[in-house]
Amino acid sequence: MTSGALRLIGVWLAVIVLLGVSVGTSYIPMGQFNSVVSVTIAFIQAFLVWTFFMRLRWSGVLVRLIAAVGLIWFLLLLGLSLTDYLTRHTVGS
Amino acid sequence: MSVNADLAGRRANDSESEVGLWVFLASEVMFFGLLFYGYTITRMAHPQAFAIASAHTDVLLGSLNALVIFTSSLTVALAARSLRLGAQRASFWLLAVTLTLGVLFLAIKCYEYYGDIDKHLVPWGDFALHGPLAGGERMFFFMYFVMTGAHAIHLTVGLGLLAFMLAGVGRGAYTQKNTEAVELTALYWAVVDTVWIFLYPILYLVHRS
Amino acid sequence: MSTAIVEPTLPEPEGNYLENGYSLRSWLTTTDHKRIAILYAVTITAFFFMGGTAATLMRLELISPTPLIMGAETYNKLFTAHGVIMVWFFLIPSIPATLGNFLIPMMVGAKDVALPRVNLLSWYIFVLGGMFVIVTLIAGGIDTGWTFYVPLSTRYSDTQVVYGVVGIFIAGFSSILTGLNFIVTVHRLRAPGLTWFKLPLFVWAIYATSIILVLATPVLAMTLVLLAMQRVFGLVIFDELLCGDPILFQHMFWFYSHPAVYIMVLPAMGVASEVISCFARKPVFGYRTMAYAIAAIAAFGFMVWGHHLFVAGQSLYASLVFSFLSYVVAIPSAIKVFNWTATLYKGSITFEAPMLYALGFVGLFLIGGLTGLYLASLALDANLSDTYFVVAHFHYIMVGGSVMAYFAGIHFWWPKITGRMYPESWSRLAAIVIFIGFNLTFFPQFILGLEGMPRRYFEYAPQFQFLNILSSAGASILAAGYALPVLYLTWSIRHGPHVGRNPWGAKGLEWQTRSPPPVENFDVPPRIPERPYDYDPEAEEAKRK
Repeated sequence: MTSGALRLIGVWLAVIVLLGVSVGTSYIPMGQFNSVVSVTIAFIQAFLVWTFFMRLRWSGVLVRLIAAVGLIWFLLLLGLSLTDYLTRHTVGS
Repeated sequence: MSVNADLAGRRANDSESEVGLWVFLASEVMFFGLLFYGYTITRMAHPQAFAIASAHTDVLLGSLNALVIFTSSLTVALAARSLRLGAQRASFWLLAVTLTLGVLFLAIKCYEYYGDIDKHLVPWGDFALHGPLAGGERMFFFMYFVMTGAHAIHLTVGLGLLAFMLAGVGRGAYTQKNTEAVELTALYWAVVDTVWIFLYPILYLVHRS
Repeated sequence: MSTAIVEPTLPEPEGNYLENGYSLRSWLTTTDHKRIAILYAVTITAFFFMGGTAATLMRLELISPTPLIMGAETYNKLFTAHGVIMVWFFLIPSIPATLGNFLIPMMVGAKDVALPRVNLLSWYIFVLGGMFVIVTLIAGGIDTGWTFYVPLSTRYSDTQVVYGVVGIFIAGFSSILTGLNFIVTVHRLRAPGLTWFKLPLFVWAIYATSIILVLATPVLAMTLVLLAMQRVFGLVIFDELLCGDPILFQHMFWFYSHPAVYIMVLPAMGVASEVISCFARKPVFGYRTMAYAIAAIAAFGFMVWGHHLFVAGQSLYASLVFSFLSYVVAIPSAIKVFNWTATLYKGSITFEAPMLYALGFVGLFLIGGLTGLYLASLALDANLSDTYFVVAHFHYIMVGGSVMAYFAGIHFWWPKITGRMYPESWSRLAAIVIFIGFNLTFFPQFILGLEGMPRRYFEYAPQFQFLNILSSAGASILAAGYALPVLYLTWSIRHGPHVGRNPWGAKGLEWQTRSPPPVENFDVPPRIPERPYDYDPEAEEAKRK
């Protein structure tokens, strides 16, 4: 087995360990931080998958850019909407 | 290009189909993004209802499915890699494992849906959760079914692609010189996996403590 | 005698893309981007006249403040049909799918788009979605308006909302695939030496449009799925009676539908840049600024959707942010208008039909854009929201802007597409008739809106009748204006005089090949110019004297 395959298996192990951490911490009462932790872990897992399994690490600039644009545009949708949802009940109530 | 160079140097130019597929994946991010967006806004309006409702999901089956699909994205990445290195047989078997894991995921998911229906968690008709927060709880299960449903449809498409690739590698249509179709399938499958990475904590782990 | 073989003036090669098979089958199975462009052109022309018919019937009804030829429900179905068809089945595919498909590969010096089969697939998906919508609109109709606002569309309307939504959902995939194809084509198939800043602005505009198509359309598709789920299964996310949020639907809808306006108008700006530069015989003024402005409009166009929600119950703070961002978009738009004007300055201007249409575009877009600023301001919008002022504003952008530019483009590249010229005086007449008819139709609506006439009602207060009659009269002139090009362009396909490679003396790569072009676009690789728009107005003036 070559080092490349071992690296992929290592990444898989990391993703699975993170899954375990995610499940484990969700049973520790931390209030709102439970979700912060589990979603942060999800972002790390997704980063690993996209970087190694989807080979972004070895891709050209263009492909990396396209991958980033998808995420940025989602955050744009969410972020600008929050200007409404975080302040809606502060006016006139 | 030497056999092992594919993982070493950065490729300056990705092929037209690969760029095309990535553009499509960006589009997919927005497609699922809209659902995640709807989920976030709705949860902000009903934080408690979402916490209560989430505790009614089957965390064991959800976690098991996470394990299954995370593993399948490893095997599909290895399958594409094997084909690049010329190991057609290994690639064939890794694709077969991926396909099996995908079918297993769907089977577990169906079993889980069966249980959800049995527990009257489908948010129309005779909904199991009553009480003052029932509106928000309904909404959680609405998002649960729409999001896992959209994911299952994408996964089923992926299974079709995998079956096609499996047959192609089996009869020697895809070889070391012609890896593109398998690589693109692997990319697509990894995105299906990514969606579950995010669905899992927001549907199953909202309130377990 | 053998030396005669290497004569520098070789005979013209024979055969072009139109002669590559005459059967219906050869058209329906083609992967040639030029033929697919024509398939699109025929399809959207049919849709244009369907949508136009709905508009004509509405204007006829509005001659009288009391019911004239139809009831309220028919009127509601007509304006929905008009909006749905014109937005999704004419304006959005108009310039990108026809002129874009025909020209982008040629302008970058390629043989075809990057994914030719996907290109054909996207046309079939478009036709499928279109048929769905047409059948729905004829068999029952929809009365919610093209915006499908909840709870009207989910709780109260008893019309065929779900089927219409399915049709639009299907057509969305056609948009995504077309956009995807152009992005890959521009990135991967540019001829060697053709760098980004040598590309015509039309390519820049279509590229930016494609990005919007790819990123915004899936949002609409999923929003419509949620809407249909609520209607079919009684699910609750937008349902105000069951703790849902109807305004969330508007956020989702306009996250697509505002950028959709830029899907319509950016390609129009691209066409205007090509045409104005050619008939002023001058390079586009501030070429780089123009390219950056296109990128800026595409990016900022995504951040202004909230200005559709000022009076919907959105938070005031959000409205402030969206109002500010809406003003920001006006900056690159204004830069473009100033630069077109500066391109004309000291140019050697001639007024052929494409130029008349393009100048019409600039003027009407200017009015549409400036009235947009009224609507972007919070205080004024509270009064003008849902009045005819809004109707007039967006028709100045979409019809005065996009449709005028579409006609400019069709007239400009018609000799390249067909190899023949249309009658000069008829085409100029049509441009002038359309310009007059358009203004007569829509300018009175600004005044009606300021006086407070609400949109989407089939009856109105009697004091609005005079301006409504003016508007309807204008609509009949406009209809005649739109019929003219159909007649003389069709005539020219068989009877127009043949033209050479470059009848306008234009500078784009597409003019270096034959008219109509060969199947693979170029007999010899095109010569890449030093800079785009390499016109010389002084030489042109000297030649004319």
